[in-house]
Amino acid sequence: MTTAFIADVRRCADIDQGHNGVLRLFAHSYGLQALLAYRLGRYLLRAGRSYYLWPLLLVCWPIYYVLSRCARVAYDIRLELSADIGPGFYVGHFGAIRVRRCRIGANCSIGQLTTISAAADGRGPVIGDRVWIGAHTQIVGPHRIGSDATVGAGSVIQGDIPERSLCLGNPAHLVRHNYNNRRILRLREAVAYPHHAHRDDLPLVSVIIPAYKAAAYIHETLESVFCQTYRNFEVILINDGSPDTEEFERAIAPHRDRIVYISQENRGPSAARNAGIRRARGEYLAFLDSDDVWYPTCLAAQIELALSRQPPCDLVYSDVLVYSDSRQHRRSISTTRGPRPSPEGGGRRMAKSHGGGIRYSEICPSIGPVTFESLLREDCQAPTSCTMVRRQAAISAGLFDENLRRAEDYDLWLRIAHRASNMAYAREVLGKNRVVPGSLSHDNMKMLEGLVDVLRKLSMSLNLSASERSALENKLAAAKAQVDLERGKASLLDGKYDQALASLRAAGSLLANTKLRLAQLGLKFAPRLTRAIVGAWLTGKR
Amino acid sequence: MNSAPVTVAQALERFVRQFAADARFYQGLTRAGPGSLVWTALRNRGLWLLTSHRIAHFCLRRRNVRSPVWWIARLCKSFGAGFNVLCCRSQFAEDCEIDGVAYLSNHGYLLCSALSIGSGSLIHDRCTFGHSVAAGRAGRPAIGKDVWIGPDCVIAGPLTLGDAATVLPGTVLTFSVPPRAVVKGNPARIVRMDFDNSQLRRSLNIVLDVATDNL
Repeated sequence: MTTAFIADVRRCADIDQGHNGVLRLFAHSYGLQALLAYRLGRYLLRAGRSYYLWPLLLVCWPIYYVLSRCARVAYDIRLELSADIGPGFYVGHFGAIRVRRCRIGANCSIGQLTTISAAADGRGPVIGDRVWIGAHTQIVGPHRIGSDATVGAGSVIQGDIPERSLCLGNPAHLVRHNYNNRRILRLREAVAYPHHAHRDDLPLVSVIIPAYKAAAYIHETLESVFCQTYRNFEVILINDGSPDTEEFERAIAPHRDRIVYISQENRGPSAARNAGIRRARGEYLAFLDSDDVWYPTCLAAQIELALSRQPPCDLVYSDVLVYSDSRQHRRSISTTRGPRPSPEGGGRRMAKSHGGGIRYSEICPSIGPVTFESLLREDCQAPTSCTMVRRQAAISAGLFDENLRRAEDYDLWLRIAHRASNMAYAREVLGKNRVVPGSLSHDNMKMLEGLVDVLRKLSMSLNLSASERSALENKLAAAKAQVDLERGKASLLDGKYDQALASLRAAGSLLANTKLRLAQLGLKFAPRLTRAIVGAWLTGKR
Repeated sequence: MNSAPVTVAQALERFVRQFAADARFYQGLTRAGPGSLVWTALRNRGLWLLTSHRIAHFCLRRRNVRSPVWWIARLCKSFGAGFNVLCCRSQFAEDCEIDGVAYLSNHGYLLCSALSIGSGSLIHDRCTFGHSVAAGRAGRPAIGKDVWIGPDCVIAGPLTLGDAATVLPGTVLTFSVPPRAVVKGNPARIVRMDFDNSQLRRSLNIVLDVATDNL
């Protein structure tokens, strides 16, 4: 009785904030007074089984009687002893609340004018944990309401309600699957997500979200995390010295009690992610950028994939949808995202069917098994936001390189792959990657330079076999050529013809390409005309 | 907030005037004993609720610690909050603006945190006006003039109920309603436009349905 009632009081204190002191809280919440009588009555029912407690009952039953009668006469709240109500029950307001002959799980809320009772045949409803039941609701008869369900105000339940759903209306019909009622229940995280609630054998996943200037998107991102069907996770949010910290903290305030929040001075995304990894407790690390979102099955699908291999995968990734909010950037997505902008313009196709976005696999398709070489050859490419890494593998590989500001994820994946790791990918689209103009990954030129830095560093630091070495050299040369090409384009448009010619020549030594050769020829004989043509061509492409 | 100071006599006079107007309105509806305002005032718990709400609202608006009127009202108010719950079975948000006379049900079970209630409105028992939490939109309803609201209604969310609208019994309303419309059902829908509810507002009879037109 005491533990259940203490849970009730805690819950009530969480919801009716502003009453400091238990007595004041007790005086102001009518539901709590009724619950006290109810809990006492339930205790006495059980105590009646022991003979030595019978003298106590003689005193206490009249007390119960008076208390419950008071609650009934004064507030018309009737919590009858035939109901089995779990701990952390909250009764909102007062008036015509009837609860009898039913079973209610832990941490539920009900509103005023609600009837929960058995039908004439005596079979009552069974209500799961963490169910929110609105005002004016009637649940009469042997209906089952799943855990985490939400019953809207004024509903009349005439059938079973599945888990995590929202239902409304008379008769009640299902409105949404997978509805998150955490906020309206106002549960604390520790209560809301008992870890290992469903299956004890599933590993804990640490979701790591570095954030920089992300106040506008972070709410959506966090919502997408808390809507995951996979439940065993912790969220670590790192504020990387963002200039909009104040606004950002306001945006995350509703989630603040269920995330681990780290704030540090600006040291780039790698350092932020590393801070998160050091703080993580989970067996797996799932990376999510602050402007991206996951679909609800993301973690579940990736964990399933990772555990399906023997030994379990060190790294799994899946497809994401790359999209942009602004129309202008939507068209240039295919060339700006990812370490590899395809020289043939192969990623230029826009997939209209994916809601204005393009699948990452269309820009960087994944073919065959994931190894160090296939990552280098770009047969396989892992996006940052839908990649999950075993924590041990990331730590063994040496975490993210904090000197890099771009392509740092590619660097880590390569190092993990180099340790002969077990990696896999899913073809499903499990998330959305927002291209934000001005974000770190947006600038094509910088991205390529970052890639060159990564490859140079790896070729020096890793102990490579001959075939790996050649793959790396090829990739490095190609990346350098790309950089030269981009540089050439830029200096051509700026009117620096000599530099442009030199850059294009350097690029041309590797990229045997008619267009490039024509451009070189044009530059030699009619630089201004070429500039005009190239300028027009490039703007046309955008 | 704080307007010109009032003396106790002025405040009392104003209070009695308002009370008399309310009582007369109730008298017209309930047809209490012949011409007896006192009898009406004693019988109608809705009137008690309305009066105690007016006192609480007065405290909120004229917050003036130096004035004896405020202190008297403040004392009445703290008494009134418990009184509302225990005797009228209702709860009213203090800042709800009731401009003019309105009928609140005698049967109680009225939980009101509306922003305003217009004059001449009839509100029956077992109604809830408040936030809509599940939709995630915090906000409170504003209820217009000459509105008829039947029993068992829920009106939730940031919405405006237009003047002379009619809300039929058992409605769960979450959107704004134009003037003179009729809404019904759970979830609510507008079943009729341009309906004259003056007949409804003349008595306390409850209609379950009105003739609908094709919408």
